[in-house]
Amino acid sequence: MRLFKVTTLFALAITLIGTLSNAANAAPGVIDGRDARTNVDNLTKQVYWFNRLRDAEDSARQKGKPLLWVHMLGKIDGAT
Amino acid sequence: MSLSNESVLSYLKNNYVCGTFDITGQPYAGVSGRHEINGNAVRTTNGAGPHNIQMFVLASDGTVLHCLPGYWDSQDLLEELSFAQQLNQVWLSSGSLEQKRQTFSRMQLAHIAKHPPAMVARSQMQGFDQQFEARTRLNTSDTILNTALAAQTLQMGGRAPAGAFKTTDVIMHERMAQRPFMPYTQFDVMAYSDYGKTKYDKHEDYRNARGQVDSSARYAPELGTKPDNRRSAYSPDGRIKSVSSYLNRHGVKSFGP
Repeated sequence: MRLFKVTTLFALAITLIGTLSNAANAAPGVIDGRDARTNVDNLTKQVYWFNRLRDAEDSARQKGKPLLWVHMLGKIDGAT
Repeated sequence: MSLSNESVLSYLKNNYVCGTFDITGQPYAGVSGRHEINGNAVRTTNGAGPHNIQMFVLASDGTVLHCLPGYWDSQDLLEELSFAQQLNQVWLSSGSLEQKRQTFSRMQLAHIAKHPPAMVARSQMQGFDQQFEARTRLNTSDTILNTALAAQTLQMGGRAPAGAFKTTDVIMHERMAQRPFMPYTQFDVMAYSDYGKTKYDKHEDYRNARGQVDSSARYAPELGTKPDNRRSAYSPDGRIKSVSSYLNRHGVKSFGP
């Protein structure tokens, strides 16, 4: 049991270190966390995102436009 | 994400109504590392991670005009969004349902030839997805162009030779052509988005300055729907299928005094 706890704490610590240190120096080909956050802010401020299909379809019908309905793991303005 | 590209944003604002659906827990959803909102991001190849994102284009009555599985480069996404608007015009036009469906399938297949070489180059299937297809459905996968060539990916360090696999842009249009003007509620997302591994993660938050993935990535939290593999250890009557693997998992390595 004690070994399990130590292992779990170690894993959590490593996970936290990895997460907290990510934005400082992005690797080649990787978009830095601050830039990614700016992109998400632009995406959610400039476009209204429905999260109920029926509401989105009603809006599309009223505006005479098609609907982009994005399936994704997580939330567009949160963790993905 | 390619959706936040300025050109795409502008196009969406002018031409589309937008919405999102969190597929966590859905049977067709895959698995991904959890990325916080301040986390790093990465550009990848077209169609990568088809189980984790599906970009549907629907007519306002819920008819599926198009669906892009996985990530897509912003230029290519714009091209496909524009194409979907043409399909919307077909859907809204007069004519029989049968005529519209034939036109839909014809347009989907014809669009493959309109893809520029750069888009095709961006649509190479990920190597680990190619290996998955070759390993699990070499003779049945619609992603494979040449079975003998695809089998070479199974050799040690094997890379797929040119012509072994279809590119993801082709897979997408071919699969859409088989689903002409389907209602969204009847669209078989599971089959449509099924190619490659269900887990897709580039470990963007766990790369060092040289781009190498840190070993701590193995402890990273995840999002998605994990397949329940526990049942595979048991036969339908509830008995353990393999006694040796059961004993191994429980720490029994050998018998004897």
